[in-house]
Amino acid sequence: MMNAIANSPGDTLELASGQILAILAPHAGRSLMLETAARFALRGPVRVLDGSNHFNAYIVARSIRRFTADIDSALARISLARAFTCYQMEALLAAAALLVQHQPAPAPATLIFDLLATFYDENVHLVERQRLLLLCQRYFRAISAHSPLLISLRPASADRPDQQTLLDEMLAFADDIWQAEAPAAPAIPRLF
Amino acid sequence: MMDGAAGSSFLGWVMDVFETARQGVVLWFLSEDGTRCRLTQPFPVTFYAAADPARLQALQHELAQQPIKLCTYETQRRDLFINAEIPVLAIEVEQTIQQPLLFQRLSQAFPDITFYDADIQLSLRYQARTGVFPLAYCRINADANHVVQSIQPLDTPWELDPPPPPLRILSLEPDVNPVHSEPTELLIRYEKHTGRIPLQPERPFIINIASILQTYDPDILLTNWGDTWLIDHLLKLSKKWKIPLPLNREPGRGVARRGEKVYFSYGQVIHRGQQVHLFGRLHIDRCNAMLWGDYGLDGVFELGRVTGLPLQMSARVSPGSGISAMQMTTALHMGVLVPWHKQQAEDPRSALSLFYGDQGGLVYQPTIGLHSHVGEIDFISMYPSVVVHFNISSETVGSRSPQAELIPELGMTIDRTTPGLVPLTLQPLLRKRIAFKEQILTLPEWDPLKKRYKMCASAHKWLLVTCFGYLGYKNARFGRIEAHQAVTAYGREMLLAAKDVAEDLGFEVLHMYVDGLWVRKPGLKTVHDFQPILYEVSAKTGLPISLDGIFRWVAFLPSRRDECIPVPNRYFGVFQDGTIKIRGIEARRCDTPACISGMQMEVLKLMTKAASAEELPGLLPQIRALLLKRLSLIQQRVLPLEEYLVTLKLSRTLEEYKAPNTPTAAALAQLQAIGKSLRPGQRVRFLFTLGNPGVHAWDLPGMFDPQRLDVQRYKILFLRAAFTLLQPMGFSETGLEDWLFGRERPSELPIDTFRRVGQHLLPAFGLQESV
Amino acid sequence: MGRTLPSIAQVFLGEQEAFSRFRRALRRSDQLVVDDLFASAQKHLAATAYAAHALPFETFLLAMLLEEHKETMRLRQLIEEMLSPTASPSTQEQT
Repeated sequence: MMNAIANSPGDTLELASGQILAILAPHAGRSLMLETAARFALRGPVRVLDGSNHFNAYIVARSIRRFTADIDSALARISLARAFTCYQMEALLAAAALLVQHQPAPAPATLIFDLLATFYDENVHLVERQRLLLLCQRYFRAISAHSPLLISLRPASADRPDQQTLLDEMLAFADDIWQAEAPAAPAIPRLF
Repeated sequence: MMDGAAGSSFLGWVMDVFETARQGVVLWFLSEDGTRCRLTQPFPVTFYAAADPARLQALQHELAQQPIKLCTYETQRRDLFINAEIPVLAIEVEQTIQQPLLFQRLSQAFPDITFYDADIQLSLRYQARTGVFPLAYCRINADANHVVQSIQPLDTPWELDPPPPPLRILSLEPDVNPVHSEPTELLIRYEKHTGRIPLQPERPFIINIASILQTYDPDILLTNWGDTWLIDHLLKLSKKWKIPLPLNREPGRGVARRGEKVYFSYGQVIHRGQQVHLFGRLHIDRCNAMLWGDYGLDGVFELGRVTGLPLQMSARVSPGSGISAMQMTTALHMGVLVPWHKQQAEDPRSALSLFYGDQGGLVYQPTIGLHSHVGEIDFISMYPSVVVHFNISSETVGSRSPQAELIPELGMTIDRTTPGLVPLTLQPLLRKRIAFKEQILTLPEWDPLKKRYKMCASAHKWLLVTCFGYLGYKNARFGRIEAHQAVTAYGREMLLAAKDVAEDLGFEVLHMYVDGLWVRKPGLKTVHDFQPILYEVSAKTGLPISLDGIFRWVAFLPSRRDECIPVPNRYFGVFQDGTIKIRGIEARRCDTPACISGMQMEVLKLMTKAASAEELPGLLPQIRALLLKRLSLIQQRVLPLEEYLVTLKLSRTLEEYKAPNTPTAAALAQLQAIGKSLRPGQRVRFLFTLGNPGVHAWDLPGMFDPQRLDVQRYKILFLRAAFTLLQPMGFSETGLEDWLFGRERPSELPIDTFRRVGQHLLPAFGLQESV
Repeated sequence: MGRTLPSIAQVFLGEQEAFSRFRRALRRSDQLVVDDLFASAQKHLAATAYAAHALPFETFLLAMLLEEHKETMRLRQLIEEMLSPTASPSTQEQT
């Protein structure tokens, strides 16, 4: 099912264990994901796996600051690991899936930033990327059984059918998909 | 050559090793007596597979079906990242040449199996097993069929003065760059012969080339644009006129081509043309060699020797591939598995740690202005030294060993007791570079060794500079972000430690830039005066440090946009020995026309006469005369046209230029109109002209009338470049013009640093605003 | 690999940009003062990066203050020297 999300969805998104939620948006919904990470970090542990250097901690810190002065504690509740290749993303998810089963409650919310960025790299055979993505999906199931899971995806380039194939596989896999609306007109129109 | 009953024993140099169809490997060998021989040697190759037993069984089954000779056995090998021995299946292939294809088939059929040591360059395997590397001096015993019975290296890659191989080198240079226009003749050089052969008529030309190849029989074919044009052109003519061209020595082999590449490296677009490799003879294209201008043929030989990559490859590869090759050789020596893909990902850490870890070196804003009594001290190869000194390697960072210590700032541990793979790889290289630098400092100018050492040192420099970045490169097999971050973290701490030492000793720190410090203390004049600070910094950090020089005077410049804002690494100065050092100013940029950078260098040369900052204003009359003379030459359009050329490196294609009116886009469009297209990474050259579109691409055919030059535009560039040099003496941009053209002369020239009282602040607090 | 966090120079430009509306509405003379304040923060980018503060603007404010205080000290010294021409230049104010 496809839902539309507004531009400030931090409050609207409710995540629950057992459900795999995906966001499809330009830039893989970067600001929305950062805002979500901040909101979750106010409440408890968060696990962020970043597929394309998206985790700008300055922005997260500023979001947290709106609610508490104790930024460092909230940031310390976010655990971060970055992947720069699809092999690394697979390895990160494998480790997370293993860990989640042995972690004491409450299990951290898991946010995957721009999952497909590393998979869109055509230097790796599509068949190989599909194999790795399938493994990743297995880990998503394992993780979501214990913890809320949110995955952000970026649209495929129009001239890259391989990207579309991978994206379709993820869209078919997710239980629920939220798609960003086209960006609204600027809030305050300027005369000059 | 010594003939014995069993065969022959040779002393000499290995030029190249490559696979052959049925005889293992071929060695092209240059014997001490001048014989060039082709030897063969059986060379079975082993690679490894790891997976659960069921999958390995399936793999064994598949292997049994293969129509090639191989054997398998179960064994244990060390995985660097797991830091333990793991059970693996070894696959030994009898014929060297069959291994890459077998591995390719297996990796497709068994994508879930992890393969190790599967895609290692043959020359590296050969070095790991025999100790023999490109151009190694060695003793070989061969039988009557020229099959190697034994090979023994009498040389190591770390020798400063290896016995020089008496290589025969044939140099071929077209008269012009074929990208720009059609060459008409070839400059040919070998031994003491030099000649020019016209490319037309074709038949005698190709017969001539074939006959030189035949009679001189060179070991190295050194060309300009051989990869991208010349070799293909020769082959085309050879085919057209049916004249056999013995480019290779190896019978039955054609040339090997590798495709062209465009890639990003350190924020720059790099264009590399296609490559043409030969067999039994080495082809090196100066124009496609990575940094030929820096290190030349001596540097290429040195790169081959230390990286272990075949010379035709080491001449062309990026320093990153060189470092990667060296790490693989270390791994093979240590018995550590070389993974095919890097799977190792970052360990999860607190988001808070990102602020500490995700930083580069410390880059300060200098104290703007003109200074005397300044010394520049640099950590020698700081990052490689940090890697070696603190034992930073993928497997040592994050170690759980009880002896592990904490890395400052990062909250990660490091094992400094067991030498890591990366430091083990770098240590001999670093030691050799320091030895070269010491030799360069002590040898007299006339000594030919000095030049060779300089070439070698600059080849090393690139390897060492890259090794750090390579630690953080996503595909580097032994790279790891945590190790990369540890290097910069230690680097920052070491620079701050040096700052503390300098200030404790009463120095003022004017500037710091990653691994260098510019420190001032009035009264200090000699190298001896700086010994205490060097000693203290080295003692406190454990890293080698050196005095790059003492400045007679040095000027740190502000930003172009705002004279109150200092800019890192934009300065010029003169060392006590008269050497000029410039960074970030026009003369240092390759896009500056020669007439402008020439002016800057000439003015700087004049400025070297000042023994201190205080003496500079005394030179102003001479500087003015010089500037006026140079400017008038430019304006009279009497300089050679090349002096007016602007050379820009393309960062994108014509279609990608958003503003079609920029000079670069206009010049590109002119070239495109006559069917010449340039790619990102290549350079476009043009002149500024009057009228529209305001440029003339240099490679357009036909004569150019110098009257079309837009001298006003060159005058602006000229004044800007002159301002850069005179600004530290207190000139404003308009003040400079007034002074230069005799409109007015600044009455007083403030010397020493600018104060932060920006001129614009004064009217800001003016009366009209006060309440 | 590339960086995940923007460089301190980018962060600085971002913070400056965040106040562009404020700056635009100021009198020209005050705009120049604001520019000067930011310029003084820019002089300490290396230390700000090293500080690794989650809200770097706080460090920028301290850097502005630092430069202001340096200027105050310099002016105070100048005035003291002008008021007592016999005083030795080493007489520094205690702060």
